[in-house]
Amino acid sequence: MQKEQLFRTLVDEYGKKIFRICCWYFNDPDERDDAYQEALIRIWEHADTFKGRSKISTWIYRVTMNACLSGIRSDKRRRRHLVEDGGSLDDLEIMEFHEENDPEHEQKLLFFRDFMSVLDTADRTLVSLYLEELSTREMAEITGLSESNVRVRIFRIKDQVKKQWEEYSHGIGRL
Amino acid sequence: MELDDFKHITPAEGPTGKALNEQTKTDDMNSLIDQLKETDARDRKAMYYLIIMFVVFIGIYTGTSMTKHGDFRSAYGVLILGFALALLYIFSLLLKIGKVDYTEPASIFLRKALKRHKFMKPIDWILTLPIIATFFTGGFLIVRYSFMKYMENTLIPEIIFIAVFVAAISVGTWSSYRQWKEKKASLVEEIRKKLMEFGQE
Repeated sequence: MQKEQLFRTLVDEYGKKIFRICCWYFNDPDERDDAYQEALIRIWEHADTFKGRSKISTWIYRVTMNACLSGIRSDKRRRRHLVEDGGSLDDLEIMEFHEENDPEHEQKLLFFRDFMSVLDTADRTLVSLYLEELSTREMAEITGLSESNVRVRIFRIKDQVKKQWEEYSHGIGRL
Repeated sequence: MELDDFKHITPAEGPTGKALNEQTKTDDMNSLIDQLKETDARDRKAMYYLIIMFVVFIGIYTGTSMTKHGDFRSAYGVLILGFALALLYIFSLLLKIGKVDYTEPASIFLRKALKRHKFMKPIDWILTLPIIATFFTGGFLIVRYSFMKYMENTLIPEIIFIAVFVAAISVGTWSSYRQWKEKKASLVEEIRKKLMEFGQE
């Protein structure tokens, strides 16, 4: 298959997934779009080197993750800058996309974005992959962590989400 | 609420922030591919220009050395060898830059990035010291043979050469360290932190 054809097929099939991962990584739309474009550029550059040793999806997610990891620095700097300026994470532009305009859903998304933004890089990577329903083995292959480490981290994060949401929703209820 | 509640939710509209119809989607893809192809071609062109420039450079010095005789010619030979080694080293750096592998697992990708961005790794010293030594030897011999025609004792021009050479190397190292500190030091720190988060450092 020609490089161009392969690239088109990959973007058609995985474009949305790649974009979703970038969304969970970056709060800022510019940073997010940059990471998405960076991922596409890297996929283009490496498209003809794919040897089929791993699943194509694993390969795509690896490239996307590494593109996000390369760009996350400026996002952190920006976030720090916002906080220093007296703003908060909530001030960031958020373009939620869902069919129904459900305030509860929006609240959950807001909470989850904040939750993601304070996770460390490895955990954020794992959550992004988990949300794409990748297996533990695939997540381990993409991150380079051991399968048991992945399982432990995911378990811990799930627990954190539950607890922190409870606190968060109690806080909202009191308002 | 569970983590699983967020599976397959796309938390933003789209890469361009607007709903795209099929036609604009195809147009966007075509223009992206055109741009990518253009970049590929530009990178290749830049490499070719660089190769041509280096070959011309060595050619000029070789030509100059041909007009000299005996020891003088040997001194030029050593200097040309220095240039050739430096060019090989620069080429190896250029090739390495183009070989960032985004398909590696994240922790390995980060470890390699850390290696790539560190200032003067041991391997860089091992490779650059012989090059510096070759330049020094070539330059020193050229100075000696040039002044031998005019004076018996060439010690003073030799000392001046050594002082200039050492100063040039020191200033070069210092300025590249400053540049690295300005542009890369925080990046290296950031990569190190990420690696720790991956439990790798």
